[in-house]
Amino acid sequence: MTLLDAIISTGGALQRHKLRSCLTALGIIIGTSATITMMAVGAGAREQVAAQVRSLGTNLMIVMPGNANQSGVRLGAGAAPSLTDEDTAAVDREIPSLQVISSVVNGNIQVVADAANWATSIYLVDVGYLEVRDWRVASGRAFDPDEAVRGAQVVLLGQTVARELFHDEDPIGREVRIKNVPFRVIGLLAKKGQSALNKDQDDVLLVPLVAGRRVLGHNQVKSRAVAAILVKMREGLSMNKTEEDIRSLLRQRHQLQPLQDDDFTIKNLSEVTSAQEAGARTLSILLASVALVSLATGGVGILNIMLVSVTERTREIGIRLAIGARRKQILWQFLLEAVGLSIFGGVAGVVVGFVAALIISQMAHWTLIVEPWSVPLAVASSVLVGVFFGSYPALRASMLDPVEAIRSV
Amino acid sequence: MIRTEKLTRRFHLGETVTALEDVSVSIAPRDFLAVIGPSGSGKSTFMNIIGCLDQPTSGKCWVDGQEISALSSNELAAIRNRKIGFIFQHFNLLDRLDARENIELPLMYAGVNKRSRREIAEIALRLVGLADRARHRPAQLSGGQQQRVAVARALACSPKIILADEPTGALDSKSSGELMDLFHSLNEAGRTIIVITHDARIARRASRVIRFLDGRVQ
Repeated sequence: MTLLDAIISTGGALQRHKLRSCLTALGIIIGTSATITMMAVGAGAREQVAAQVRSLGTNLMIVMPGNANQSGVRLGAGAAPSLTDEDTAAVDREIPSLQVISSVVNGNIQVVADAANWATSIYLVDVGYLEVRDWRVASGRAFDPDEAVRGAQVVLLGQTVARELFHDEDPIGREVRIKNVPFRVIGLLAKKGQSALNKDQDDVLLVPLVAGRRVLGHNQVKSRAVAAILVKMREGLSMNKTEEDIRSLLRQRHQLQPLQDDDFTIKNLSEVTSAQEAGARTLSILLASVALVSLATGGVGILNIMLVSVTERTREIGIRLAIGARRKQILWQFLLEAVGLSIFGGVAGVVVGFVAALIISQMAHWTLIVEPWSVPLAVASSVLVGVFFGSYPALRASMLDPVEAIRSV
Repeated sequence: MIRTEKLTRRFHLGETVTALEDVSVSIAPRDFLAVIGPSGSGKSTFMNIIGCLDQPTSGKCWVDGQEISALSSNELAAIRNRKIGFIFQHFNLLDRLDARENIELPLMYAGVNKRSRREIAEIALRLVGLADRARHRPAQLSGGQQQRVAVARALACSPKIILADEPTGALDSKSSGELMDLFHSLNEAGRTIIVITHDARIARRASRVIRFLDGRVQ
C-alpha cells in the first residue's frame, strides 16, 4: 500500500460525506483564516510604522527650544526661543556620534510664480537637512555649502508646491517670489507622502537659512534663533547615550543649574513609533488568541467526527484487517483522513483569510500585507491540528479486534 | 496444511465461557472440509483461530507450517493477506468501492502496484464469471454476484487456503449451487477449502466433515 493509494482512498472517504467534511473543516477554516488575517494586519501595521519612520528620517533626533515644564509652569515645547545657531554649531562640534546636523526655522508664506500663487510652509535649513531627513532631490540639485553661507536666493520645491505653481512644466531654473523677493528654483524634492500626522510633507519649500532669514525679517525670526535642531546619528550608535551627551552640552551652554529644568526638549523618534508598534502588537496578540482558540475548537470537531467515523466503519475496519491490513495501515488510513480534513480546512482558510484581509484593507483603509511564508505556516499548523486530534481516533481504529469488528453491523 | 493441537479458547464475559476445548484436528492440503454444528458449538471460533483473526488461549495451531499462537499482529496480518482467503456469510464487500476495487484491496495491502492489481482483479473477475461487472458497486449486484466478487477478492492474493463462513447462508439455492461448483473447481485447482455451514446439502458435497458440539470435535 503506497502513500498514493492511501491518499486516494482518503479522498474517497471524505467525499462520501461532503457536507459533514465541510462542516468539520469549518473550525479549521476559521482558525486558519484568522491566522492569515492576523499576520497580514501585523505585517501591515509594522510596514506602516516603518514607512513613517523612513519618511521622517532614520536615526533622527529633534532638539526643540523650551520645555513642557518650566519652573512648574507648563508650557508647550518650542515656547521659549532658547536655541540658536551657536547651539547647532556646538553640537556639531562636540558630539562625535552624530552624522549630520541641521538647524531648521519654519514659517508660512505665500509663494508666487508668474500667474499662480500658493500658501505653503517654508523651511529655512542648513546644507545637511536633506541628509538628515533621508530626502532626495528628484531633479535639479540641492544647494551647496557656498550658497548656504552667502545666503543665495535659491529654493527647493516640494512636489505639491511644484504642481500647484507650475503644473506639469519643469520648475527647474524658473523664478518664484517669496515676500516679493525672487528665488531661483534649483531643485525638485522627491515625493515623501503623508507624515504620521497626515500632514502633506510635499507641500513645502526649502531655502538656505541665511537667505530665508533675510526675507522673513526680524519680526518673525529672531536673528540667530532656530525652531529646531535636527540630528542624525551614525548607524548603530546608542540614541540614549547621544541624547544624554547633547542634553549635558546644551545645559552647560545655557548655564542651567543642576536643579533647573532643561530649557529645550529632545525628541527621540523611536519613542513615537514604539507606541504605534505596541498598538499593532496588541491587535496581533488578540487575533492570535482567536486563531488558536478556533484552531483548537476545529481540532475538537475533527476528533469528534473521526470518533463517529471509526464507530460507523467498525465493520469496514474488520474487513480490512481480515484481508490482511496491518494495524499500522489502519492507523494511517484514519490519521490521513483527519489530516486530509484539516488540510482542506487549512487551504480553504488561507483563501478565506486572503479575501478577508483584502476586504479589511478596503473597508478600514489599513495596510494589510499577506506575507508569503504565512501560507505554509497556516497550512502547517492545520496539519499539526489534524495529526494531534486525529491520532486518538486513528489509534482506536487500529486497536479494534478483527473478530468483533467484522461481527458489528 | 492446518493442524491444531489441544486448541482451547476461553472468553471472559463476566464469567468465563469456553468456546473451544482441546480441539486437535489436521487438515491436509487439497482437502475440501465442511465444518458443521449448531450455533454456539465453537465452529466460528475455530475458524477465527485457524484464519489468524484470533489467537488461542492455549494449545497450538500450525498454518502452512507456521505456528501462529505466538505471532505478532503484523505477522498474523501477513498470513491472512497471503495464505488465507476469507468468504463471509454477508459478503462483507466495501459498498463505496466497485467490484474491481474490492478485489484490489488485499493486493493493495500486499504492496502490489496499481497496474498489476488491476490485471489480477480482472483475471479474478473472469474466473468467477463477472468480467462485465467490474465497475458495479455491491449495491448494484445480486447476492450471488456479490458473493462471487467476495470469492474473487479471496482469490486475489492466490492463497493456499479458502475459509468460508456460512457462504451460502444469504443465497438462494441456485446461487448456492453455483458457489459450491466454484469451490469445487478451486479445490480441484489445488486449494484447501474449509466451509463452515448449517446446510447438510453443502456438507454432503465436501470430501470430509468435522462436527462441532459444545466446543469439542465429535
